[in-house]
Amino acid sequence: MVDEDNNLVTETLSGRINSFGLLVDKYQNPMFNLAYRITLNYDSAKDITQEAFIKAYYKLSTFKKEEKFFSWIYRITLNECLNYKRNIKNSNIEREDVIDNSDSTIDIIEKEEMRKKINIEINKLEHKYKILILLKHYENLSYEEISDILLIPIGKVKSRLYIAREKLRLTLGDLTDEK
Amino acid sequence: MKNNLLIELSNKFIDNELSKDESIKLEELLKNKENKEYFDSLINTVKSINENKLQEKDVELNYIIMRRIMSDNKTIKEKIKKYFNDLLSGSLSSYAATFGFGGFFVLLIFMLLPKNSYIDDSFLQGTMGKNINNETYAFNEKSIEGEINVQYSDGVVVLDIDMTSDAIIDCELTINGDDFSIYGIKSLKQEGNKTFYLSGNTIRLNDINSNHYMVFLKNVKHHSGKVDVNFYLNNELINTRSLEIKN
Repeated sequence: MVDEDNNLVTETLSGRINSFGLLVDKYQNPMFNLAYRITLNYDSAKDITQEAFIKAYYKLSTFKKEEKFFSWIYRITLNECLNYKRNIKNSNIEREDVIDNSDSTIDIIEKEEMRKKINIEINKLEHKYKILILLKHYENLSYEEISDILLIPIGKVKSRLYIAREKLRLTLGDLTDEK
Repeated sequence: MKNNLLIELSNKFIDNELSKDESIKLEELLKNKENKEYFDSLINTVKSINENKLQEKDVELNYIIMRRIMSDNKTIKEKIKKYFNDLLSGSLSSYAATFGFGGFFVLLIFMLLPKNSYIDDSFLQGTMGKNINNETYAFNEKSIEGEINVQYSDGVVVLDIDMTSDAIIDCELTINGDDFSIYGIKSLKQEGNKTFYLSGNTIRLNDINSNHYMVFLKNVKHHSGKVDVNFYLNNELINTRSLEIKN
């Protein structure tokens, strides 16, 4: 997978722009979902994903071949999300109510309440903790992959994640104990 | 206060990273009611996070992204094209003047480059290291004065020859071809006419007024050796020195 991605990067750099299109095809959904989970806003997530890929294209010559494209594009998307968060602090962009219609039973409202609360609490976490919850529990990435993306040692990834879980345990405690 | 070991082992349990020994330790810790409550609470929290994650959504952004890249590329190409169009939109006489000036400039640089210098300095890599032997031989004769500084390091010998004379002096350096090979000669300063010749194992430097040369030799066998220096005025030997090259 890494070789395949790196070949596509090399081809793009040699002038075959369509090869970059294949990388977009491959990673647009994971990047969009990551941005969506961070912003909780569909349109903003789409904008962030676009900007991340455009930036990646223009910075492609700085991409190191020994690195994984997957980690690199994740990092760019996360940075874009961070920029977005900084920008919306003083703007009127609001989070959408995150409603997932995949359930059709009567307890959909209860479930949605729970989902909403959990996502709100995750969003309240400091960025460095929130990212770890998203990458580990939502993106199901390994510690090694997270370490590659965030450029921090695995030990630090673990200790931060433990803190993040503890913070959520304290804020979500009652809610999850009721289950 | 919670036990750090309990926190670590509980998290490892969640990540499925517990070793056999750690499992036993965790079991022991969970016999304590308070520890068990903490453990259950953490497990429930993580379970809730995992169960309540937002559903994956599919988007189709490829077309938009690639269209933006293509259009940016087109703009860059157009800018380049416009630049060359603008550049080439002048009259024939202006091109002729531009090329003429360019040619003159190149010629000027070429003329200003020092001539009569031959140097192969590829061997110089690493010669600035430690253990440089350094010895200076001064000479002060009626017609010529100056000094020769001998530097020797790691098989490379540099003879730094600085001399001033009021008449035409020939300085002849003779080396032992078995011990040394000549790498190059560089003229660093010239105030009078200067020439130098290289013939076999002999270098002849021609001097009047003030000249500064550097002669580079390679000590082939890394032995101690010597270089003989003779100064001639009107082909008559006026001074002779023997420079010792210590290994």
